[in-house]
Amino acid sequence: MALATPLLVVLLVLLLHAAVLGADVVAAQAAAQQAARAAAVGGDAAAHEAVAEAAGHRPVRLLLEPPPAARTVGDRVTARVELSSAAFAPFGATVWVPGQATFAVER
Amino acid sequence: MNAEGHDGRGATRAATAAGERGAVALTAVLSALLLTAGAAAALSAVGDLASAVARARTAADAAALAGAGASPLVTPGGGDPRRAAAEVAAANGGRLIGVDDDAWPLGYAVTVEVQPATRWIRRIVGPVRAGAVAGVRPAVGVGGGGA
Repeated sequence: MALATPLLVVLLVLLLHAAVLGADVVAAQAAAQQAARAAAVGGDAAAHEAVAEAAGHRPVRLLLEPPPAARTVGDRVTARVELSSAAFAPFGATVWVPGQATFAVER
Repeated sequence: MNAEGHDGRGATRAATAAGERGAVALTAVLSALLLTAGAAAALSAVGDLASAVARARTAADAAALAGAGASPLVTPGGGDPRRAAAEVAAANGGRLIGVDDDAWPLGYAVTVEVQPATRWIRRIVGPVRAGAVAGVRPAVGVGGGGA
């Protein structure tokens, strides 16, 4: 029992962090969707605002493709987001969770 | 003779107790590992499904908007809404499986499916479906509008 208890605690902590990671996967996808939609309607500045709002206080990276000059109405714009997850941070690991969304450019 | 017999039984009891303690510890460790493996599998399934649902929503929203964007009220001359929706759904990792164009050209509804990433979850659960509706708001006096 003395051996099993610490092992069980460690495993439960790892599971807890895995759950946080799963939630962040959904959050990153939502951030990518908002960024792509904003880029399709309002341009890159709007996309950066949208993704920053969706990420809250967490560091986030955003890449929009193609560049603004190459977009016309009806084309597609893709937002690739990487959201810094709080999961496994106490273990010294920084996990970047990806999300991606593509929308048709409207204006 | 008796003393030797007592000592022998005592040693046997001690060995048996130690063996039982070892068996209990082993059982506890194995149980913990099994429990953790089960929880990890369940967590993985839930995470994968949640991710698939999020991707399906994204694909459905984008596809519906792309379909509505092909309306002649938005694009001069209009376009093929089904094709536009299917292309955008595919770009988001989804597949367009149904449309409802009853409200066309004022609106467009789609149903999209996305496959979970993990094979065994795909086998058990199958694809995740999501639907979305986009409406067209014609701009008064301009001759165009936004989806």
